Amino acid sequence: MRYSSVYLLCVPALVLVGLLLAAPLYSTVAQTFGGEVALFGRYGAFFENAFNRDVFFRTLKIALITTVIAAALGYPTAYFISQAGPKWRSLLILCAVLPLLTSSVVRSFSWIVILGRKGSVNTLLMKLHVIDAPLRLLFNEISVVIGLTYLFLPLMILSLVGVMENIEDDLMDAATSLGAPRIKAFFAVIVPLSLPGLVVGAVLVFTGSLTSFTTPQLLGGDGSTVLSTLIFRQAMVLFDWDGAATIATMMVVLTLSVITAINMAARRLNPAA
Amino acid sequence: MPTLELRKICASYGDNRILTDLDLEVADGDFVSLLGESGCGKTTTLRVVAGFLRADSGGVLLDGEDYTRRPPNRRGFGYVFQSYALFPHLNVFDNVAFGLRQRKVAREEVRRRVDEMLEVVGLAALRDRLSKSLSGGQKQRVALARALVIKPDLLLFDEPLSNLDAKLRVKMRVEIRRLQQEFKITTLYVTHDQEECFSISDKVTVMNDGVIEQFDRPEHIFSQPASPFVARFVGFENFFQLRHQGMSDGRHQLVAADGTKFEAPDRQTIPGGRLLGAVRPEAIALGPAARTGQAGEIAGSIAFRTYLGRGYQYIVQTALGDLTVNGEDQQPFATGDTVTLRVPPDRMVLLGDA
Amino acid sequence: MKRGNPALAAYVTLVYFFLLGPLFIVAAAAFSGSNFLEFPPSSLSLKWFANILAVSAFLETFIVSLQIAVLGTFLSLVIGVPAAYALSRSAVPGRGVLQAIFVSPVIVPGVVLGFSLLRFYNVQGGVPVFQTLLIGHTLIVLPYSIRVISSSLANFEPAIEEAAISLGCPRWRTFFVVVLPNIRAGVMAAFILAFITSMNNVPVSVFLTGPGVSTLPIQMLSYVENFFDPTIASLSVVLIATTAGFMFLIERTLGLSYFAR
Ligand SMILES: Nc1ncnc2c1ncn2[C@@H]1O[C@H](COP(=O)(O)OP(=O)(O)OP(=O)(O)O)[C@@H](O)[C@H]1O
Ligand SMILES: [Mg+2]
Repeated sequence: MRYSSVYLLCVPALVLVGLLLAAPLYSTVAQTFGGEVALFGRYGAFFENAFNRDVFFRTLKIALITTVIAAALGYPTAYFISQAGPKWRSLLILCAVLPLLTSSVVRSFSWIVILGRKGSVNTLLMKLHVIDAPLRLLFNEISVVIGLTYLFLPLMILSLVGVMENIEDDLMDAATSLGAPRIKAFFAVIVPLSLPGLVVGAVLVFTGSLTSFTTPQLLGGDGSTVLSTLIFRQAMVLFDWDGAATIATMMVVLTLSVITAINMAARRLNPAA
Repeated sequence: MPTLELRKICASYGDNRILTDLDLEVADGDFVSLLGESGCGKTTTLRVVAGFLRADSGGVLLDGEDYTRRPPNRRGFGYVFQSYALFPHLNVFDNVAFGLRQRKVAREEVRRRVDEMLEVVGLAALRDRLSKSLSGGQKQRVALARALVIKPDLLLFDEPLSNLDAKLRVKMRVEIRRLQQEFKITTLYVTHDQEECFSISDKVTVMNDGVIEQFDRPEHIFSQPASPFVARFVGFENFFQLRHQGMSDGRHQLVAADGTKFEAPDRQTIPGGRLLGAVRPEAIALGPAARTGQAGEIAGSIAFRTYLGRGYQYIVQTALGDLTVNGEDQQPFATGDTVTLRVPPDRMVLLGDA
Repeated sequence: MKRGNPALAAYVTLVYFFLLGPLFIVAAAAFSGSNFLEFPPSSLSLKWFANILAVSAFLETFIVSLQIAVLGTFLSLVIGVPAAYALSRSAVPGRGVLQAIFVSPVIVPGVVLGFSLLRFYNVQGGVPVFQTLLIGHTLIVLPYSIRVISSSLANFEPAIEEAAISLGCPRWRTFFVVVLPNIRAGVMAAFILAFITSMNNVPVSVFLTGPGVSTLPIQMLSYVENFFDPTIASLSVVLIATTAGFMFLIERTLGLSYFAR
């Protein structure tokens, strides 16, 4: 194909992304630098406010915890799936994809049913006479972390399975025949070779948690505001467009830095990747 | 160097029985090959020996010591995989060093031994290359070095050359044999390539459907197959059903269903029951139609001719069925020519007809 | 055969309880006869399913969602397929950059995109909400379309196209008579994935609601925030069942293993 026709075929997509997406984004970023404020003045103001500072670091903390839990739950699961026979493997992947494709409203809502005042957990504990009055399990940071883990665990599992499936079975046998016990062989062979999957999974879960809106909106309370719910409040409740634009810009920068940082760290750890 | 013994090994995948009562002995320092068609259980046998697959029953012994339940990482056998199974995240040096590090060998010694081994297999220049960036032949050498450097009690190969091109295959098999002799390691080698197998083995085991058909020196397998299966496998293409008629002139006297007489050398012990005579295509002499009444003469006509490069191969229609015969280059016969075939007495192998 | 590790198997069983349990619990709560969300339900009834239709906003927003999803997905394919095809068949300078640009909408946080579109098009540019929503949804599904189409193009041998061209078929026609029929399954799968993504979107749509225009997930969100009856549970059951139906379609077209890459 001639180069000119290749570029020609890319023009519609370029217009869509390059113009229809880039223009509003640029305008948002530009707004944070406009007006009678010092350069980066709005960012300074954002961090001077203790509430905003809390929101910022809480968002990072929640995303980090979610990523760690998702990895801890997802890694063994993915290994199990990659070792299972073809029938089990399809079934297990199927069961991970179903929640993934289900609406995030439904998935967050399910935890309201579980953790709510009359939810399953409280009902069970009351029946067992462990408690007399329902516990307040919802609308805090923990319920947000649970909801986010639930939301993103399938992504972690699937990223890992994709990589683990391509690790040759013979490699584990080779390592054991050379004298490594299975557990050691696992750490010497499977772990380093599945690192790229873990990196992809971690990036997806971390950035997803960092920017997710539905779950903190439904499962979080006033004390667990995060950046995405804060943006919504600034823009749609307080009509503070400058403030919202500032947060928006920070979220973009944050997302990009996280992706870059994790990928760089991964490359440092594994020169083969 | 130790002797490997397999005693009445039965092995299966799920309900699918692959090996049945398999016995095998590989003597100290010998190079023994497992030869057989695809799916007959060669890899399975090797995996049982290595301990990757637990046998249902039977025993694996090394120098009389029971290895049956010993985990694979504590057997100290070198295993060379068909896929090479090099660790893609490690470079050549670290791949070869892997086994030594499991043994907690001191750093300095690891370096010395690995470098030495890389020198032996001619890969010193590539020691820092990532294993996935190597060519097939180079990967093969790394796999070999990795298995050899741990000074294994036993070396196991699973079709190590099947992913290489024909020229490299010949070169590598000479090298494998050289290294095996240099280090005097007892070796079990799986292949389905006859020529490869005969050229490097002290002894050959022909397997069929999870059962050993013959275990012998390559020359014997080639000239004295013990069963119709082995005979077909090593290139006997013509088979006659025969009846034994006693001895005369120090030869077995035999007769086919249509009355054609044959002779076979006396050195063979006659199996009981019905007999099958087996002859290679190149062993049969082909001439213009002319009967002398000697034993081993068969009349026929040329049904089909193919050119083989160094001569012709004919399918000859006879009263005993279609026979395959190789003929010389000069004066080829044409389709439809009537001919006389002669089976020399010393080229006929007698087998029990199952 | 591998010896299964019972501890690992037990752990994985628990993980799957975690993955699937909540969906079952929602489904059970949907059949409750009580006016509150509860599990296990104290009585059984189908009245909350009936209530889905009784709340007219659900149907209205569903229609908007459907329009946006179908139009947006269609646009993303019309725009994405030529780009994916061009980039898969030629190593033009800047190919990597172009590919990165085309998948970049997934990197932009949804709320940032929603807010920026609202500000730029709707508030400053006077574009109606519906059209702004359409732009937003086309943008967020474009990366899915391009990725799925690219991977099915990668599995389609260029030599087959070259055969058609050598037989005298012009390249543009080759695309329609040779390439497109062979990546039909990929296009179908891309459509389904993009459609689901659009139907489920919250962070972009939540900024883009106007008089008479809102999407189903946003309507559900505000219902959950204001009412505590099981209607949303019933609606969830309907949506989960629909999702399962779509998964069956994807399994048929693309194979579910697509998700584990
Ligand atoms: N992991 C497995 N699960 C189930 N059946 C298997 C497995 N591995 C091999 N088999 C079956 O066991 C039989 C013997 O297999 P094996 O790998 O030992 O054959 P082979 O002689 O090495 O053949 P090849 O020359 O093709 O490598 C075959 O019928 C094969 O289908
Ligand atoms: Mg094999």
